[in-house]
Amino acid sequence: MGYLECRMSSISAGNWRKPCTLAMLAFLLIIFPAVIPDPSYLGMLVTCGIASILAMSWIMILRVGHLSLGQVAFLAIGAYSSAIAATKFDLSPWLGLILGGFITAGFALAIGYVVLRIRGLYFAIMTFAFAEVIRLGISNSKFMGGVEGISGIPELNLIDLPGLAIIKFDSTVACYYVMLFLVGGTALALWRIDHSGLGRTCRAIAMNEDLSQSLGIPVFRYKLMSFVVACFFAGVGGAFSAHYYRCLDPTSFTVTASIIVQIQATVGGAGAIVAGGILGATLITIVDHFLISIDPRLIIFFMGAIILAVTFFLPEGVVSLPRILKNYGLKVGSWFHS
Amino acid sequence: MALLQVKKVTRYFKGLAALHEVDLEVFPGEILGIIGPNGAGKTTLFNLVTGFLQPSSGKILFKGEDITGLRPEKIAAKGLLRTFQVTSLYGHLSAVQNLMVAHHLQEKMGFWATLFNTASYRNREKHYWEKSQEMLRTFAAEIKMEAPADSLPHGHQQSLGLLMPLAANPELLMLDEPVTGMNLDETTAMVDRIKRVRDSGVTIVLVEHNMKTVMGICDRIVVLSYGTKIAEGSPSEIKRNEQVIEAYLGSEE
Repeated sequence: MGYLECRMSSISAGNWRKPCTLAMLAFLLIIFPAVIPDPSYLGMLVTCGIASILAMSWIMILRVGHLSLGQVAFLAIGAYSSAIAATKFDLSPWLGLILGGFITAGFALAIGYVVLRIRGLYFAIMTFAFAEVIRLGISNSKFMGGVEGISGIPELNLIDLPGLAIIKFDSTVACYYVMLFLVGGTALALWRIDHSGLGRTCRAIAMNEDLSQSLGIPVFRYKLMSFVVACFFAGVGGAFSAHYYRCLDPTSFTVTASIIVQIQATVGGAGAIVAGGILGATLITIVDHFLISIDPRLIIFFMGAIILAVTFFLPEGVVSLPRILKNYGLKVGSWFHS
Repeated sequence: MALLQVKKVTRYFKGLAALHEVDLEVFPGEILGIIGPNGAGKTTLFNLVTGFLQPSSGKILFKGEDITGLRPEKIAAKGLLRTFQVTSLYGHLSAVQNLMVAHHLQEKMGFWATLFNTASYRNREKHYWEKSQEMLRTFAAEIKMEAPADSLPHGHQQSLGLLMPLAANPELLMLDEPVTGMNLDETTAMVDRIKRVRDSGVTIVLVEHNMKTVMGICDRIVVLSYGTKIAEGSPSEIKRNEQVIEAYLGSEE
């Protein structure tokens, strides 16, 4: 963590493989819409992107030792902030993204100040309760559209430079690139924090809070920082989803959705904040998408099965698969040699 | 003037007094030993002084300042640090990484500097990484620097456990049973290490059951029994004190 990690994975140490793979992946993602212009594929990737942001934010909170069962609440806050600002106050969707992030961060600060003092199971229950409070609050509020929700939310396909020009794009493609930018930005920021001295201290706090306190580490401050930063990005993701789906209602922000966030992150591998979060979210979202078209009830069966399978066979998540296969390959190879 | 003053500190657990009106003073540069049969309240005293427990009544002053009831991290920031009875390390981190975390009080990590990987952040990390390695080489050269801490042999873990609070630049260091579970060689090495730490300017308070160690290393000894202080003095005085002998022979020690 921190200096050590940087030394081991830096290009200056001669390790070119990872940056090259990442560059290639980035290139493929960027040219994707030109190669496969089918909007349904793009749409699915956008959904994967939103889920990835949420999964990454969940892992960041896990890093300080807290298990959040209410991440969708922050998605909702971001979404509704931007939606209301756009429909009722004519705020540009682009500014709405930033507004969504900051309002969500504000909520995270307020709720975290109280809830982060509790550890373990009770923290999880409190976040669960908070998510439900948010959902019910929205359902019962006429201002927020109640159970029917808000519709007609403006798209992210216009850049309005007053007096200069109005640039209009194709909606789905525009959203795809905005999603790439948001996921990339979130990934970069969270990866940076996780691999730095801050991330190292966060992991230390999760490993042993008493020891950390005795060494003078301001444990609560770190927990609050991680929580607020994680929820900021969740809020931005939420605001984006409001402008992508163009309609919003509280029934999508159930506790089940929060649990699915956890399943996605765990299946991907909670040890790797970016790789695990994005991989898990993408995998599960894609599989869910196929299963819905066959029979929606299969999703529940699949979720249960996948979490059991990962717990027993791949406890460190899908990201650990290359390493395990390599070790297995080495073992098989040695059988042939002996 | 006393570095640490414990004034009439009392702590009740559900009506039972774990500590009753204990008075204690620790002077700069000394090694003070706290001994007593099991259940005498030694660890409770530690937890009260270092902020992990609140006293039911009484005051604790450090460097003249009232630290009663402060949180552990605030007390640590003032220069009062401790080790734990069950060696507390960050198991999955390596020895160097453990010390990097322990340097937190000295390494001023800024959020934005970290986020943007500024030169000042990188220099600071490098500086403390080298400092951590240096600490290991000086005080505990036998420890494998890169191995995860929970894979180290018990004696090495104890040594690393001593180095952790040292990285936070303490003025007073409280050691909770530093040589428990060590063999003769490890004990001698640890005692030597503790003496070197004291010589570098750190005042030490330690709790220990190993009488030979206590008598050999401590300048002064305080004896607790059933939550009260029953004796205080030099090792030779304590050895001959009748009440102390009775307290030990009378219990299941």
